[in-house]
Amino acid sequence: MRKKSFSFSLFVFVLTMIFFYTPIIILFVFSFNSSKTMNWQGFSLVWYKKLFTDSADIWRSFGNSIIVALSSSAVATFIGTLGAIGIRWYKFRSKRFIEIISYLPLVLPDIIIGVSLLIMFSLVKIKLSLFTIFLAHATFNIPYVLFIVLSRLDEFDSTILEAAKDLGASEIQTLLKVIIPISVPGIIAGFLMSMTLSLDDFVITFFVSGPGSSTLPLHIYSMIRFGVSPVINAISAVMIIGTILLAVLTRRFYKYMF
Amino acid sequence: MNGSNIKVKNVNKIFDDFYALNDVNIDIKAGEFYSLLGPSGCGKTTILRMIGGFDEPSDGIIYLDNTNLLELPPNKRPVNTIFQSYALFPHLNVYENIAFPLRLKKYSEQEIKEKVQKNLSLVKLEEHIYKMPSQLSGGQKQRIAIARALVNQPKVLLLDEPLSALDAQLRQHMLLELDSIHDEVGITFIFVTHDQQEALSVSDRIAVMNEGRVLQIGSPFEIYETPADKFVANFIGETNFIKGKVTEVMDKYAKISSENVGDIYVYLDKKVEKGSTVHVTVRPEKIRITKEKPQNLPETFNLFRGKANKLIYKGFQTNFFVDVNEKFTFKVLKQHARYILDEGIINWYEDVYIWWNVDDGFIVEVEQNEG
Amino acid sequence: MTVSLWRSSRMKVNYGTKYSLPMLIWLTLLFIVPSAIIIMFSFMEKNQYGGVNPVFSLQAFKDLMNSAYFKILLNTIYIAVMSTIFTLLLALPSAYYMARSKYKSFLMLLIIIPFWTNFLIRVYAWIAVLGNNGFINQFLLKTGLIKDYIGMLYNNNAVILVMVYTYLPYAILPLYAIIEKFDFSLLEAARDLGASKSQSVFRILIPNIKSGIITSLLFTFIPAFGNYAIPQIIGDKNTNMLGTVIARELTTGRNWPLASAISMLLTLVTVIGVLVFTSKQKNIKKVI
Repeated sequence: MRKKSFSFSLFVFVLTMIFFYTPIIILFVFSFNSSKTMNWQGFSLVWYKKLFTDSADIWRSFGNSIIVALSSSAVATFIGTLGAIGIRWYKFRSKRFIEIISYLPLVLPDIIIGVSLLIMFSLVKIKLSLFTIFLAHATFNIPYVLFIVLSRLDEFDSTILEAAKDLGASEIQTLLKVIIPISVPGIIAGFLMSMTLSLDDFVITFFVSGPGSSTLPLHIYSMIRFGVSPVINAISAVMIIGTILLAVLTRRFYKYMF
Repeated sequence: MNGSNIKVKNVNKIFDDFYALNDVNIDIKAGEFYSLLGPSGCGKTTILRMIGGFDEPSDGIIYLDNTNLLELPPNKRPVNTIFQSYALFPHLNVYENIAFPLRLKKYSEQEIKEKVQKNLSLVKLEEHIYKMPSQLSGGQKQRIAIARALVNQPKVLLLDEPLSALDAQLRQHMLLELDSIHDEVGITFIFVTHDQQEALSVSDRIAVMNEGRVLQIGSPFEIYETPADKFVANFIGETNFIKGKVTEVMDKYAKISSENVGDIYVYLDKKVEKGSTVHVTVRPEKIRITKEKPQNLPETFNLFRGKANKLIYKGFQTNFFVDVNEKFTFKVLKQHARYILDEGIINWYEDVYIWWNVDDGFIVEVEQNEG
Repeated sequence: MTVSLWRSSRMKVNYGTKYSLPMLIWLTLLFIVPSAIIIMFSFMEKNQYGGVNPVFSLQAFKDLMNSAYFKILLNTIYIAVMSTIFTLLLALPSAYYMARSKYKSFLMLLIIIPFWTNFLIRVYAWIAVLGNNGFINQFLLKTGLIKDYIGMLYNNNAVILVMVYTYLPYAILPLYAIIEKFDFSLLEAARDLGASKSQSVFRILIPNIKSGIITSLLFTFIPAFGNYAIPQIIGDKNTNMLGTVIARELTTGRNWPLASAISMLLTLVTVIGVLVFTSKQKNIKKVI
């Protein structure tokens, strides 16, 4: 009886895994296909060669993605971490308001954030560029950093702050020598999460990007519109490998992220 | 190293209409081991937090020697706290935890090293100097917290239920250690606990608190032997309460007549008048229990016949519950000083005699509106 | 003087406000203000070159009453509901299996990899599999089982399939987190007291992991309901959703008030959904 129902969950789990990985594996395999189609003709590295030697625009958009991801994650991590510290350890009047406005961007559909930023940028006449993408990414990343750092800070109660003060630390010393150091795993997890979200984002970026400020997802989107292309298969394979490496290397921070 | 005295003067803490502290006055002498004892929520921790600077009175003043402590932020007060959860910094190893206050004061590396080592040897943990807090047991964390709090050479050490997270045996051990550390550093210790045994065994003086008020201040003997009221008598150790009316007042003793027990004599430590209703306390260990009618009784005694209807054998002692009639059960504690068969075993439901010296019973409370 | 410098909660007011001030300013300028602009625009007149005329008008909401938009709303609800149902049906048993497994951290990794794989690549993978020139069609043509392409993309079912694929990790993770904390001896206790296996699951397990189920539900339904990218890429004009309409009105339609009004509608549904589902539990705080 018990065994039977346990294997039901195993059955669904296996099904889920097949569902998750079949398309990814097919993509991966066909990135080594010598033909242009999804019809296997033989092993070849021709598409990788094309990707690495003859795809300057892909690499330019990849560079843009990295610039935006690093800068927006750094800013979001700084702002979100300070915000988490303020919310976790202190009581103040606008606290409830801040909690609500930092929660909302997490649940609102991407398109709302993208469209509203686009309308505002056009209203105040800020030219769409990498800079507006940076602003948008930092905005949707701040709440993630906030909640991830908060989940780290929840592991401590306020006596740790009292202990620091008790032993002679001033407010700023308490911040720099106790609060920030104990937050580090949360800060790293928040930064990692920001990076992946920023590199992943398509919808918001689509609305706030301007001419010449294409990111990698935008570039892939424009390629997809022309149909199946073996070069996309090759990019996909490279990015999937990168994802696996990142996922394996950052395992110890999962508990704050998910 | 010398401690400071602490004077808590007319301190109140009021939330809306609720008095968390109600006119608290405590005078702690320099170098004293002073305990604040009471059930949870009695306000003892609040007082400690006020001295540490983490809470503040609604009104009243707290002096350290002659300075008003309330004017200083917590990081400027010459007092340090042992927190209930130890509050060791998880990102720093043992050495750096203890060095933390010294680094803030910009001591030289050499001085830091000396002081850390001196304090580590005080708590006998020299070999754990480079461990992280997560690698230490509860008792070890506790000692590191003590070493860290003492490294600043505070005038007063505040201990907030420091032993509550330890198991019973370790607690006993740490208690002795705290006592010897106190002797060694000679500063004032203020110890908050809800455990009467802890308070009795280490304190020079104890303040017993309940519901925001200080009920009694005194040495452990005074608190235990002559409790100021029913609450204190009941909270500190077990006791028998007998309620009755004063029917006769003599020069040393009074005769009390109780509906439940009958007539008893009691030592007259309070002024009472004939006819007033009083509560008498007799500690269980002061009552003797025998199977045969006792011989060699003292001059003045109270003697009852009863039935040992329940008993709990604990090896070194037995707790008896002796019914003297259907209305009243005496708690009696017998210490087994000899081999039990030589002493004579008292079994369940056996008829027994119980008696105590009149000098061992006290009037703890006189009811106001009667008599 | 020294007293008032640190005493009372005033000190705490200062530092809490200070630390969270950058966040307050940032989110106000880049979230509150843009949201407010959208609300304002939805009550204004459209300008046919894009933008709005600063004149009060309810035209956008009148346009919304149009039956074409109502049909799109129904289609949006249909796709979001179906996606949520299928996602949860797969997510619950999967999360349960993960939480009871000996190899939790490895299984977790297996979920994180698709979770972190680029969104567009995950969508593209299905084009490569299901498209007219995709793997399945090519394979079937080659083996001679079919003579002509089967159109598997560009319909509601394909949109639902890719939605499930995209949001399944979002649904599994919060469920896993809460089932992992569940005390499984409670199930044994229930069995001991006479419950059947399924009774112990429905009367003990499900009520105790309710907050995780609600979180999963929200994490699937809200992005599905407000989705733009998937129907845009995998769908066609028959699979319009509110999100695609917003984009269309904003760009080719040049009807900013209408785009704003639909955005408000989406926001409203989201906020109401969150409030209804979270009213009974206070901690949806742990977010993916």
